[in-house]
Amino acid sequence: MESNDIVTKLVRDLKPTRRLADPGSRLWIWLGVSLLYAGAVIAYMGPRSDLNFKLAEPIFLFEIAAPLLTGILAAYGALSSGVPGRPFWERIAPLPAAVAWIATIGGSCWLSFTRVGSGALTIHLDPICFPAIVLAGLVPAILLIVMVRRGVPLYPTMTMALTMLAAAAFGAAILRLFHTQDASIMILVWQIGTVALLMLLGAAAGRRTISWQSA
Amino acid sequence: MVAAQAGDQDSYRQLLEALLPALRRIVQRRWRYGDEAEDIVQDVLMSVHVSRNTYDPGRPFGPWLMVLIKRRIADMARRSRLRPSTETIDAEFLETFSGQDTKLEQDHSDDRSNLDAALDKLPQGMREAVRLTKLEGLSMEEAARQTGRSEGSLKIAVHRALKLMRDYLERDKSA
Repeated sequence: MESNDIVTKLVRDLKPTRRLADPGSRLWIWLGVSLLYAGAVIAYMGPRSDLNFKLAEPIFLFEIAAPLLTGILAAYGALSSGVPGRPFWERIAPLPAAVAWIATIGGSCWLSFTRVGSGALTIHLDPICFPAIVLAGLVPAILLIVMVRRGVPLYPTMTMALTMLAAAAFGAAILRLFHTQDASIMILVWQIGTVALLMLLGAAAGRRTISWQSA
Repeated sequence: MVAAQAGDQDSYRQLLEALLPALRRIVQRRWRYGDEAEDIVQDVLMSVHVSRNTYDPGRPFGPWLMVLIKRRIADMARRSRLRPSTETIDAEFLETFSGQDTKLEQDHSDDRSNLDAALDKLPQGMREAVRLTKLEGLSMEEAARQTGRSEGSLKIAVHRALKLMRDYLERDKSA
């Protein structure tokens, strides 16, 4: 088929289309639904018994704020990556928050090591982490996948990596509110490890999940 | 583009017809690796169509379009990397692989497994093109819509795939 024939066909097939809202407005929808879901998960699992006490600790608040911010900025990056012409920085916006998150946990590991010695770096099995993060991030992940598929598959691998980072980091932040695991090394290995694994799985599934066929 | 988003066919035709020569110029300048420039132009036209809901009138049209062009060129480059570098275009289409009338049941089964093996060896893009058009019986137009590729690029993919499969089968036969 000649290009001119394609033009004729596209013009013939043209229907009015609803303009996609800007990534900021769509982010608010995602965040609103995700927070409602997080409330339901915390109510179902039961908040940790020392939550009131922990919420008074600045370091605990920062350890929740950092993954939460990582998740929100990753969601913004994922939504923006499906809109042609958006600035590049929007896609790497979660990077500083993720670095701050890992640095905080890593710093706590180091402090524990200098105070307690190598015993502070003992890694135990914490089988709840992975399923709990998956549970807390499930609805945010599904919702965000549906939303990014409404955009254009410009960078499928990056979009899906950001999508899974958003959902998993959000899940990891919510996990701290119902799971009493505060040892830095355990958070580093099991929580950040789970987030990294889910992000890699998302990247690997990028081209199958978002493609021109689904656009 | 704003009028096109509202469904105004005349404005959309004017836009696409004005874009076409510019698209050809840009793509020909950026794609120097083969004769797929027109395929890329067609891919970009299809992309403009399916992406038109993402255009924000508050932002410039040029960068929006350039991203689509760059991504479609990158897609074509990725598909090209999957092709064996030694292949050439054969003017003849391979219609059939074997006569069916005089075969035993075992021969049919052998043919089938050889064909499956040859199909599996193809790069993903070619395999998909053969699967859709030859096995699932879709028309080129339907297959193009499903894959987001232009009909021209699909035809070439099927043609090359059949030639490659014939090579694989002949190699297996002589081995």
